[in-house]
Amino acid sequence: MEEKRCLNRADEQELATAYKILQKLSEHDLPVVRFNCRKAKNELWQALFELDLLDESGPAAGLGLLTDG
Amino acid sequence: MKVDLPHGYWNPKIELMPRNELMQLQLRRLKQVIRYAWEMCPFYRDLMKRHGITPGDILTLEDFFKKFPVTRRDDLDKDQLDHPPYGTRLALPLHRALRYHTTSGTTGKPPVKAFDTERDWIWGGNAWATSLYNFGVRPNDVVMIAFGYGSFIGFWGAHYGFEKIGCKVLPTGGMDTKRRIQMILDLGITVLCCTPSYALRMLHVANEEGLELATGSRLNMIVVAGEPGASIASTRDLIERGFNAHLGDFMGTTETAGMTASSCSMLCGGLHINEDRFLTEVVDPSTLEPVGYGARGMMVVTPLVKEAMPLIRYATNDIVVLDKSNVCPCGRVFDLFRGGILGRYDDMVKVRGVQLTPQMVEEIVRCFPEVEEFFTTVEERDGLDTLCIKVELRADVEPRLVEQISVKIKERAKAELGLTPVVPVQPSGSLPRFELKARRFKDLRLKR
Repeated sequence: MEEKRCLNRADEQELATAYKILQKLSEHDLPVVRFNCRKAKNELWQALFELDLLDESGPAAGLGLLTDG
Repeated sequence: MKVDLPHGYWNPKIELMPRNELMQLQLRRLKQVIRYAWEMCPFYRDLMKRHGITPGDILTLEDFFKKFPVTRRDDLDKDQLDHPPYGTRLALPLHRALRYHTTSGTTGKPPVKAFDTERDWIWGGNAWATSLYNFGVRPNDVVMIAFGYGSFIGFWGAHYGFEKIGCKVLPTGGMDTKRRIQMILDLGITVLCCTPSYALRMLHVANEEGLELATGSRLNMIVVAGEPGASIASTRDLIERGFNAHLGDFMGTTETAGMTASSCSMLCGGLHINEDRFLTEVVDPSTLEPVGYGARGMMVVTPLVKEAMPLIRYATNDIVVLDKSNVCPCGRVFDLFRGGILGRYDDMVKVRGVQLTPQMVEEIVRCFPEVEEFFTTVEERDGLDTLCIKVELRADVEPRLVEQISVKIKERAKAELGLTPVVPVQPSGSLPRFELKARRFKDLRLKR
């Protein structure tokens, strides 16, 4: 089976959406939500960075370096 | 128990992209790094102003290599001394830092203190995860990390990298060598992570205890980092045969907090540079001019994302040779460092006109499996610079062979180095042992 190299556009969009959801929940009042979502958000940021989806033309534009660590 | 390493790519989109696209990616990330450092990092803003450059002046990689000054270890030390405790490289307030660590202190200088944000720290762990996966580590591996888990960054990143992949990880800080060896045999450990010096120490202790690591364990991979041992052919051979496992070399620096280059599952002898994460150069250490492929030079490295403490064009003093990516059959676009780190420019000494590094001595001594440990000094004796290689032999070496081995080491050194050392045999247990980085070389002439 040929190894898949890239995400399709729909998957890229889903990753960016997931990030934005976690970003919002990282501000939640409840510590259990806030801290776990902050960690998950920063983990997910790695995937966006490594897949080069953070530039201006990508679905995750505006989430680039250090907008919200 | 050696089985073939599985082949695969952590991130095929990047690892298999055309070279010109990789360089465009590097340039985009580099521009962000420089803009960020200008805006957030007093150390680099001041440095750029002193050299009359602004982020807008760096439009190409060539602009960067020509115009941007290097940062040396002395610059970091001075900055932290002048502005204690962390210097002016901090780009974010301290409350944003997640993790504190230091360099090992084995150069004899005060350790550089470093902070990472959560994002930096995860990035460093991911750099390890990429390298480990590409070496052949998989979720079903059982990993022992033989390291003290102190403030030296050591194998912390490896720990998180292994966890990211989904391995079962056994941290063994504070555990003695005998117990670690028994765990390897009892718990089906498939991956051992440690320094090359410690791997050799384990083999010696196992031999003393009559324990068979080569045939009695399920070890398949030895992941080493922290010092150049895996690049020394005789040391490499000793470790691979002793454990009957594949040896992977992993190189990074504390200051960059990431895995710069590492062996892939093809084990071609070179280490693929994680070029999407690091911009590396190989330069003449005096002129800083690029030396090109195939020639020895100093590695200069720029991590392409660091939030807490940016680091740009860091002159590492590590000696490397750059090879093109197609030297390795894996298909990755990443160029390689041939043989990994070959030594350090600041470890190099001259003895009677011969340029000598500790690795050159180790290459000779490790050809003799009878040697358990050694320590090299350069001394003045009777007015002459003298190379002195103190050796400790294994307990099972017959007394009648001791003098022979000393003579053979002397002859080999003469043939390979052009220097005849003195090789005094030391009492058993008298020389230092190392769990982390070994320091087996001292130029005593400096102590006058």
